[in-house]
Amino acid sequence: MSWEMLIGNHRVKATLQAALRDDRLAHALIFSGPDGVGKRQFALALAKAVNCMERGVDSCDRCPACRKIDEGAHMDVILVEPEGTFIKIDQVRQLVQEAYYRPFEAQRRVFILDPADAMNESAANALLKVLEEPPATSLIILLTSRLHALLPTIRSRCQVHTFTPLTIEEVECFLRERYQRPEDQTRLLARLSGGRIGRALEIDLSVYRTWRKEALELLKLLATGDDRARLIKAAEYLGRKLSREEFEDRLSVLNVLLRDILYLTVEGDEADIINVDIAPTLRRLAAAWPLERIASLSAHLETLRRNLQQNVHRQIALEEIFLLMASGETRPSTEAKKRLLRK
Amino acid sequence: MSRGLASDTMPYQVIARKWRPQTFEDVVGQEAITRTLQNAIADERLHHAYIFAGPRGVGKTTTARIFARALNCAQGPTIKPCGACAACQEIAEGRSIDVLEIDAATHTQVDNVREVIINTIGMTPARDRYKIFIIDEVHQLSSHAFNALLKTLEEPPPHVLFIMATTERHKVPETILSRCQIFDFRLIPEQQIFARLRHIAEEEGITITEAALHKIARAGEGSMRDAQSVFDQVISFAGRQITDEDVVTALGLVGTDVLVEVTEAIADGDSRRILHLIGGLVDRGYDLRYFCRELMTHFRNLLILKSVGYDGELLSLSSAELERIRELPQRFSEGELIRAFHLLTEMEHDLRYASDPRFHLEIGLIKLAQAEKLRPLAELIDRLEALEKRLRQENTAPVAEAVAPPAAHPGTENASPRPTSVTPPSAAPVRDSSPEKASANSSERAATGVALAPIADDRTIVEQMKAALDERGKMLLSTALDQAQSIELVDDTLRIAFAEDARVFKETLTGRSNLQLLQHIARQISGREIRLHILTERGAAPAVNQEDPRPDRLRAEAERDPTVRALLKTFRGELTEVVRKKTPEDG
Repeated sequence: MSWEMLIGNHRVKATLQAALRDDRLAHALIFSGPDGVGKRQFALALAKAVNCMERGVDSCDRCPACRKIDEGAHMDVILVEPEGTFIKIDQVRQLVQEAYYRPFEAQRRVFILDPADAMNESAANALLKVLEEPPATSLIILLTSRLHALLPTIRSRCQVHTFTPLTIEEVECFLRERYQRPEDQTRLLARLSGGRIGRALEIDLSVYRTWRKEALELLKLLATGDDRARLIKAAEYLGRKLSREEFEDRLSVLNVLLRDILYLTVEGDEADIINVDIAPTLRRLAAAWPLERIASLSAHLETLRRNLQQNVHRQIALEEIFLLMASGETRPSTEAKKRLLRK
Repeated sequence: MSRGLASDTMPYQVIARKWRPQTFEDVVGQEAITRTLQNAIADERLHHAYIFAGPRGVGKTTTARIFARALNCAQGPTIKPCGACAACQEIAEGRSIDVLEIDAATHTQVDNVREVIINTIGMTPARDRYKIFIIDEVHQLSSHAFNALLKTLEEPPPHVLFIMATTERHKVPETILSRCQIFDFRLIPEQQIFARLRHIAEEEGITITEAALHKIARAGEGSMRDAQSVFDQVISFAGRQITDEDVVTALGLVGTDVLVEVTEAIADGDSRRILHLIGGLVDRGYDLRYFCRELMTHFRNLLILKSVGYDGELLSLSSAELERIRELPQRFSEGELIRAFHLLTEMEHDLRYASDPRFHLEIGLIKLAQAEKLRPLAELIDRLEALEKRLRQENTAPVAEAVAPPAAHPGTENASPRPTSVTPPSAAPVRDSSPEKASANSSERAATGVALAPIADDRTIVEQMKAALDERGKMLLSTALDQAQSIELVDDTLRIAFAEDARVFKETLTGRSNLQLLQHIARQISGREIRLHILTERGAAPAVNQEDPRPDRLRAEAERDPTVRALLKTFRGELTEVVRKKTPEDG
């Protein structure tokens, strides 16, 4: 994949290309940015550009070197990934050793650590010396979505390139080119992806829609606050029937909806909301969810999510939150309630 | 040690590497250390083991290498290594046989230490004066490895020298530290980083504005290498002509403009604009937590401008930045700024764990904007609620002491011995002297709706009495008053009650001459005849008091009780609830 095939992140692209052109490419790079925005693609493109036999700023994609890199078969482009949870010190030791060998066939050996924040502390420390003064034939690229989880001593030795999420249009465009989907699905997927192609490819829309329906139902119940029995049942369902992962997924769906409602309340139009396909429903809900209530529910849920690590009793915590919200003083006006029920 | 492979082609080297200092003079910001080392060389008073500790990128490894060269230089030992002789060059390239640079983070094991250090230490240097071991990242050695080093470190052969560098001195065992001379490297002042960067820029032929260079120096946060890495990055982004704008963009710094806009939106209560601004930040790939931190700094600046005025020492702002924010503090009260600062601090912390940082920040800032708009109303509601609560409490539980917000009665706060400031006690029912104490007549007060009436405060009287006593040198009496369980003024009677076990104080006060003195003072202060009623609590307190005393007093009583204490100690329990047992005496 040559540079022009890469989507988005034009600033990073321009910087890397300029560095290649002026022969100012640093020997240790950090690609920092959210998951699924193409950091690895960029790293591979860079590996090709420095090793392409045609020798230019861009890779030719035809020479044996380019083809091998595309196939993941190049001896000198080495991907280091976690073994289990961590990238361990032995992996890094091996990397360090290999970094001092001459490349088998290429100009430069490229090491890609993905994700670099998976290095445990001793592994990261073992990388320090080679990061600072690697042999001229090595290029080390660290990929991370959590820049601040890297040791300061690591960060200080690398040039950091910050990747941004893609624009919705860029994701839409990508999805349209690759997949045959109805347009409304493409639009929803692109918005749900948060500008991350990787994420867009993971989402199963039919599952999402089911979850969304549940979440909408819950928001409606909370808004009127009348049917306590059903609220308690909802708490039981979310709190006991679901596994923790499933529950966290549901929480994030709820969050997305709350955010949309916030946008509708504040902005008044639908330009920036995610669930564009159900805008009218959200609009009705928005009338029953004033700002303070959105803020307070999201704060409650966020606290609960954090407490999950301490094995909080999910069901009871949810019951508390729901009843609190249902009886809260920032209840919707009767007017808004009526409109909700009329639906 | 393993840096041996020299390359035939010499491609681009990053600034930090290319401009690594080669002499003691070039090392920036560590003058105390370099001077000490130079003196040691000149006086030939070398220690055999050094530890260079300090944060990343301030010159530890660099200094170690220069030191090694100074010792092994063909001209040496000298404080100015020539840089030309074989020894100097080999050390610079990391291939000297007599100067071994060991990466302790890769070679953590005791076997490595044995093989590389202990087994070779007996051999004399191959060519140069000293055999020098530079052990970098030494904190990563295993404890066995450290222990294996101990003997060697204590009494190495005369031709051997250790230099150990670490960013985490606390991880190095005490036994190692005590055998070494320790140098603490400091963070480098921004101004010195700036000067060095300017020097580099000139030499490299790079055009850059002073302001832009300052931004880069600041981004280094005291680390030279961080600043140089940042500089590299900006150069590769912008080329050889660098503007302020380039630095801001390349580093993802938050420009003053964004901060000012967000602040204005908050002041205007303009939620819509806040959403747009945050959207813009996300699109440009800003780290939202970093943004939040910048916003905190910004509000701190506003707060300082508001409360202290401009102070160059407290504010690190360029004059252009100052000009941009000069008007902003007028849009907030000091309290609002403090509140905003507080909220941002909380938010910054929460953002670390938030599942959706963007949503979190959006809600937080909107809340802030709305709060600023609604605050006066909110305050009113709070006060109303406090009032309500107090009334309710007094109606339902006659003994429970209403806790009024102290600000509601500013007069009670400063007690001074000026009789004029006292409202005649008869004008209104009386408040208790201190909120914690039970009072016999609170039901009476509740009936008259005490919350709204101006209150004659017996605390004022007591304070005045104490002051008057102190003035007369009767400290003992005023101390005794302090020990009273409750003091209250009902009509013309000042009732001073002591706990049973404080009987001795009661007796002090009731001594004949003392009683007269107290009466005299009370009369002076209130301007009329005051009867004194001094008693011990148990006998005098009405039964109703015993029924429902203040829980904290009960608790204090329980905590004093020797039986309870013994129980707690034996069972390692703790007091959760204290309930008074009914006794015949209590009725």
